[in-house]
Amino acid sequence: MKLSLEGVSKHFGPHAGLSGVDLEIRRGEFLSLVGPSGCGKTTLLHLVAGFEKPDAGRVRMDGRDVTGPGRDRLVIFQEPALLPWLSVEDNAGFGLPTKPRALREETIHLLLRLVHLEKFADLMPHQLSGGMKQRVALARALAVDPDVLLMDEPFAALDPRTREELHHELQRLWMGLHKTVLFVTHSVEEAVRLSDRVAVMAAGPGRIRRVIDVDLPHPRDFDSPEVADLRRQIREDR
Amino acid sequence: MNTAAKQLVAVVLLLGFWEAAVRLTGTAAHHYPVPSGIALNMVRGFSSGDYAAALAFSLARITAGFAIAAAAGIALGLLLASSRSARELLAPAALGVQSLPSICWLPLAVLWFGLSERAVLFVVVMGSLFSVALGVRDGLAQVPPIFRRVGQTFGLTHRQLIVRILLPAAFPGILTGLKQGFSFGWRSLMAGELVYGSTGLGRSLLIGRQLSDVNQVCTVMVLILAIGVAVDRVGFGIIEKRVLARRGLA
Repeated sequence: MKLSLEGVSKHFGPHAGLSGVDLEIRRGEFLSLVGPSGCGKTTLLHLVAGFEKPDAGRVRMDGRDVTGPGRDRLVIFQEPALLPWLSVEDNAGFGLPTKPRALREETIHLLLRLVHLEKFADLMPHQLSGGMKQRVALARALAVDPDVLLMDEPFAALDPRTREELHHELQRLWMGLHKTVLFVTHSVEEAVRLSDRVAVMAAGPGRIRRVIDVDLPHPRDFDSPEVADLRRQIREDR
Repeated sequence: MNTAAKQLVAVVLLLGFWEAAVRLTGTAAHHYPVPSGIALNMVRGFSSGDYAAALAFSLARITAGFAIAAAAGIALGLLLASSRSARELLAPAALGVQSLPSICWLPLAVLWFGLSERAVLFVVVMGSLFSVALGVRDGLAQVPPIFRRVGQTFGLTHRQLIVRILLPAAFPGILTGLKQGFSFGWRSLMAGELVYGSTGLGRSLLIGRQLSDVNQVCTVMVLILAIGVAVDRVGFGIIEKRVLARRGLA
């Protein structure tokens, strides 16, 4: 197991938070958390990220307790959170050592090509569209070669077309890079398109209701009847 | 005609009117300055080297004083931003002390340091320090929390977080504090030089009064104003514009 949560609870007042969550995420797996707002999806992600500590239970990665944030588990947020004083290039290279310079530049160049932004290296963040910014954020995270990507509704603020574009992009990247991904979303559609498994959560208190296997090969045709079918199943179940 | 040209015409007309009014009414010339007198005094003062020397003294003092105030102010601002108890204990004091005209520190400074350069420097630092500190504090308070998260997920240490994320993110606010700090420091220095009066522009102002030379008094006032405006608009103004434009904020 890459990541495991055992009996994890985290309380914010009487009705919010998580209660007794068990979840295991395999190495290289793409697992999505879906559920209504207030079900604690983001809290769960923050616990794995090490931003928060559980009130009870254990969060482990590779068998070791998570004690704080670290660059083996890079978080990608809903807002791209690019640093506005750095160029696209320097944002992408934020987590890289400054020396040797040649290696740094080569890595940045490679990553920007990976997310199709090599022509925009010298622009500033405010000159980019929302989708482009999120691509830079993705490049910035991948630059440090983390084992795990923790994605917190990364496409929620984008328009539908850009979102679909980034679904294809992320699927392609994930297939090539073999990262373990924990993906939080409120869109069942998004979860079914991208994931190996979908954990459906419920609120009050936050818990995992069931985990559904999405047994379809990658790359997926997002418009296939199987995808639509699973999506309907999960929606009706809720 | 563009705005600058209009403003120039207005200034020239005003100066002409001023000159004519003093001359035509036969007002006592040694009590009322005239533009031509100021211009002449400016030329004379610079060709004798007096004003250049005075300027050099004042600029050296403000540079030293402002450098100390900026360094101490940034440190104090960081402390105020990072420690809750520092904020509760020191922030009201800092705000309170800031409302004291800094020249009021001079008697105390003289008791401590004697009537010396250090006393004047102390007044400049006290005039400037708290504006810088409060600017740094406010700048840091406005850093979006998500930037801290970014630093954390990239595994930055506390020190790296400050240097690589918090200070650059707060830079526009810090710049505002520095700008205000300089402006207050400059005013404090002029007050200090008027009272302590061994060298500098403040001293030249004092000499003008002692000689009953209204044109010299006004010329030095123009110089003091010019330095203040130049540093504020040109020095800080250009940096500020660049910083904001780079971030897409201007």
